[in-house]
Amino acid sequence: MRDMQTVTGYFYTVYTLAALILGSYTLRMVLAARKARARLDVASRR
Amino acid sequence: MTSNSLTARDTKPQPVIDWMFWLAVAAVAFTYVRAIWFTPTEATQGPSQKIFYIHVPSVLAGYLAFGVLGIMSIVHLWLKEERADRMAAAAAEVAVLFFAIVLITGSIYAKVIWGAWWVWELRLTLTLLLWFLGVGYLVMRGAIEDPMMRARFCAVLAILQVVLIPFVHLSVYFVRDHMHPMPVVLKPSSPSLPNSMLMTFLISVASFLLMSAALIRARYRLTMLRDAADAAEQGGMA
Repeated sequence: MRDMQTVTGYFYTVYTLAALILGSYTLRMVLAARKARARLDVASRR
Repeated sequence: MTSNSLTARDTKPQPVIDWMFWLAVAAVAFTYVRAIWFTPTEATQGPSQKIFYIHVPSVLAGYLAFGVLGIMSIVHLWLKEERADRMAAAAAEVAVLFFAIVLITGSIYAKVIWGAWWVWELRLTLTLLLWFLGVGYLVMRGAIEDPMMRARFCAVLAILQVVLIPFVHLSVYFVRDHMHPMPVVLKPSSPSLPNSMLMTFLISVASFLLMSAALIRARYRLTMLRDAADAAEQGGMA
């Protein structure tokens, strides 16, 4: 078993990475939705 | 009304991020707080055992997404339902996302417990294979232009990859020399976790399943929005 500080570091790394992956995927989806909605608004006004 | 005809509610773009997503975010945040500060540290693995509360629920969230992918693919092949194909595509993306989390968190967990980032053990190898098949599905969706052909080919591939899931989950029973631990919760006998850890685990599973469902729903709505924008642009050009 590694020392406690390293092990705690690994555990916090996992929690941060999982949040970052889910967060960045959501952000990508939100930006794509904004782009699509802008396209829809422009096309609807024509 | 044919199975492919869309109702007014389907064609009206719904908000991509809605109450369900925020509920899932709150549930995952609650899981984090409970796991980090209000769950006892395990005696032999130390704080690294808390990786379990992210790693295993991510697997189950991925299974849920793969399950939706499989069911929607069957529905599409059976009824030629366009919405089922869209839902399958949304679920495939979310399944690949959660399995990416599984592989990354599992690798870090393995480094702490086994002393190696990766071991060519049956369950790890099958999980990696399933992830590659999921990526292959998404690449194939992008490569085929004809929508009908794309939906049919992808549905067949999806069903074949979903068949792999029981083998991934039960692989620890198939071989004697495996490094992956045997199930501690999902097994015929009662769970071998203390109550406080079991409760955190169950909350974590519930929150990750909710997050998986919320992301599939959001991704499906994004596809609907994009299709509505495409249709409006084509209508304007005609």
